[in-house]
Amino acid sequence: MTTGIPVHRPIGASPAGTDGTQLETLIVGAGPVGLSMALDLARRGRTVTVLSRLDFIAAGSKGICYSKRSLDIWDRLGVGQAMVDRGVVWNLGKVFWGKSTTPVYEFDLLPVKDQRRPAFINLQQYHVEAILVDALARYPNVDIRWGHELTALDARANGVSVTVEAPGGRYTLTTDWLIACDGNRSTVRGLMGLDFEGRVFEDNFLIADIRMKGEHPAERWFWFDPPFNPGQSALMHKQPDDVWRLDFQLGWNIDREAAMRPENVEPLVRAMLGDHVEFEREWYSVYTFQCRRMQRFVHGRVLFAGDSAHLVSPFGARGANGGLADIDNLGWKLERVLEGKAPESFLESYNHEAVATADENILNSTRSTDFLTPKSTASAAYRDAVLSLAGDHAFAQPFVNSGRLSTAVSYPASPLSTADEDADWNGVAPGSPALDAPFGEDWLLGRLGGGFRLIANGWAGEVPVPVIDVTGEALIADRYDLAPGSACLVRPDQYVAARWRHPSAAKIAAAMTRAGGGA
Amino acid sequence: MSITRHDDIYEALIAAQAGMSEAESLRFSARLILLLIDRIGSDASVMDAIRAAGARTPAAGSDPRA
Repeated sequence: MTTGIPVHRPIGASPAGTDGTQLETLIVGAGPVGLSMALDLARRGRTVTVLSRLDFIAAGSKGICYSKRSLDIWDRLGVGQAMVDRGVVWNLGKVFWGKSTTPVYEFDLLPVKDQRRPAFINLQQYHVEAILVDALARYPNVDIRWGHELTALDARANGVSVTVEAPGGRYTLTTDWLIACDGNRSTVRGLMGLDFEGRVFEDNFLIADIRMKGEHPAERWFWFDPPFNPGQSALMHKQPDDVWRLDFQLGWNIDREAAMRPENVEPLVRAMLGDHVEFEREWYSVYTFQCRRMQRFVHGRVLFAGDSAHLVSPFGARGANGGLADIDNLGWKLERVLEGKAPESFLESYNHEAVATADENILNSTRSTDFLTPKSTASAAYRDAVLSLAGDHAFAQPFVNSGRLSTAVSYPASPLSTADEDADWNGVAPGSPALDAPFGEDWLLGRLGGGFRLIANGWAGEVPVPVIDVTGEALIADRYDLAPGSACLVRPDQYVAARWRHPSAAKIAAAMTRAGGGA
Repeated sequence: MSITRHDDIYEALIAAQAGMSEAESLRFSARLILLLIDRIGSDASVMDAIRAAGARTPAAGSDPRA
């Protein structure tokens, strides 16, 4: 296949399919979101087919920051350690202003310690995709069709008919469910004529991924108005294999083609790193961004996840991480519907929770963008006032917004949660993600797995859910506010669904019915 | 806790910005507001004050009782 897109790993086109094939679930798109969706369903024993428009893993510069929550999800899917081993671990962010080499603000993105995973890893998207593809190769119930592109679809109440173009020829198939993980220019969304509303930001950013031997620490460094890019911002991140991500704000009225030419990029890089620095180009590109989402992510038998459903600015690493939150939320719910344990309407809870996640990400991303690129005289004055105070006044530092980095989103209004019956709870509330903690020689999240679990402090009863007894684990008791005799119910996506000071089998069964969609 | 030296404070506020351009004055005011927000130390009070500052004010010379 000749596309002009640089190749990380060639794979080669899969043979064309047979007309009229009937599938259970078709995933469109083989990025980190689509592949992770496939892995989640595969591990649940479901049969899945993935369409990849390209017949290779693309190289080049895309998402690089993966959050602790994403690592927790990948741990559940069995690939977390592979990602961490390949990635660059980091926890610390530093913000600089003007000429000063002393940061005006430093932040630790993992304030709660004693958890298995760090705040973030940086890892090139092609390494993420390669790890996922290798993991999927172990599942005979997964069929990735490389070089196969969806070109037409007909969505009905009980399934979707799809036309696929492949190097071996065009064919048609039908699927009970279609999950659109096909990115910001989603073909599925376009063919269905669905909305995609939001703001477009008038700013351009240059990405220069370069290879160099650097002594720079594995931290996120961000500059406002540095001497090497006056009046604009800049960002520097370490990636594996001596690759560094440099990101320069360029402003709106520029010649984008010219801006990414080496003779224009390299002076910026030298101004930032020094004239003497030796580096090689890995990838240069200019991007703009938007904050938008679909009104709904569930359209009958077509489900949207990741960039096809919602877009944010890159400051905050909320793009790919937001998409991974989607598939984490969707996998177990779709499994319950496929198994007849919950009605189709249970997927409304995916719509509710994934929209809540997207809204929080868009809100944070929009606020960061407004701080980076003030839209009015007053906005610029407050931004500069914050930066000018932050060095000497600790109170001003949390106002500095160089990107609010991705953390797991809570669903305080989730229809799946059972309200607390007791007052004065601390700890992880229903609708919030389980918090990790050491557990014997292991970690709590590692013990939760991918099904319903009851975390109990010395309580036992006849319940239709595996019980994890945390008697004597003081840190877990503290983090979940589980006094002896208490218990909390955790969903298959490792969110807390309910908790009790005085549990009973009947209360637990009722909460499981509520969280699991009845039936 | 309430202030008593109203005229001193008012005079100091004006004097601090004497000779400033509009841009400098805006910058001063932004810094001052942030410092005051810290001293107030209450999300609800700050949000309430922002709303009050933006409330519709009667045009100069109109009867405020109307």
